[in-house]
Amino acid sequence: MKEEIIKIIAGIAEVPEKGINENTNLLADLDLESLDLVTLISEIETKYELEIPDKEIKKIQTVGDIINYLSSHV
Amino acid sequence: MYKLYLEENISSKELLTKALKDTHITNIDIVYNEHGKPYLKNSELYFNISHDKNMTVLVTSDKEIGVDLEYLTYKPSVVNKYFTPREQEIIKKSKNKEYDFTKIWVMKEAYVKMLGTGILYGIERVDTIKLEKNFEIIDKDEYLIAICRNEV
Repeated sequence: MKEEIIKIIAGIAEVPEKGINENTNLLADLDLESLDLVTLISEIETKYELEIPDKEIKKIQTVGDIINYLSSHV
Repeated sequence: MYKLYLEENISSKELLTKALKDTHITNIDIVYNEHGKPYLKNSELYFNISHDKNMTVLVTSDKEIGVDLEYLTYKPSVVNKYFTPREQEIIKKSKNKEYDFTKIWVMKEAYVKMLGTGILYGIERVDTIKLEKNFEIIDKDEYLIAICRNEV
């Protein structure tokens, strides 16, 4: 799952996958804009067939936060 | 009434400094609301900024205002989750999905930025068809800009 998430994020951020790890901050390190963030959330929700509540989205700061959330909800 | 500043290869801070040269404001002191929307401290002037790739846009106004700028793009997954049924229908029938997607998105984001409630909250409920009279759309090269005034 970790590799799949990193692949999605790399595609949206237009950066190489090898430059992304669990500690990568979506805003500070990847400079994702709001449209990038909603694209990321919607692509993850489609891929894993779930809906991430807004209050959980608000907590997401790093790639690891996404992986941890999915690990306990998929 | 609002003033718009649009420049390439300039930081948000530099563009704000340029814009405020047109006013009596000499001390740029910025405060943020609970959702991160910036305001000028001790000033009646509102402002909002957006940037994408190498383009930055800034608007100033005597009322709450929101602006969003995006390079033309199309994200089908965003349509499914964040667009209203009528907006989804527009995209489905569109012959220029990049233009129509980007236009609806910048309108939604400009509206939420005008409200200052945070971008991820309720954007799927922003009905750009109902709110259309509140927006001005500017087409600049491969970018679209939406300006949303507080006349809702």
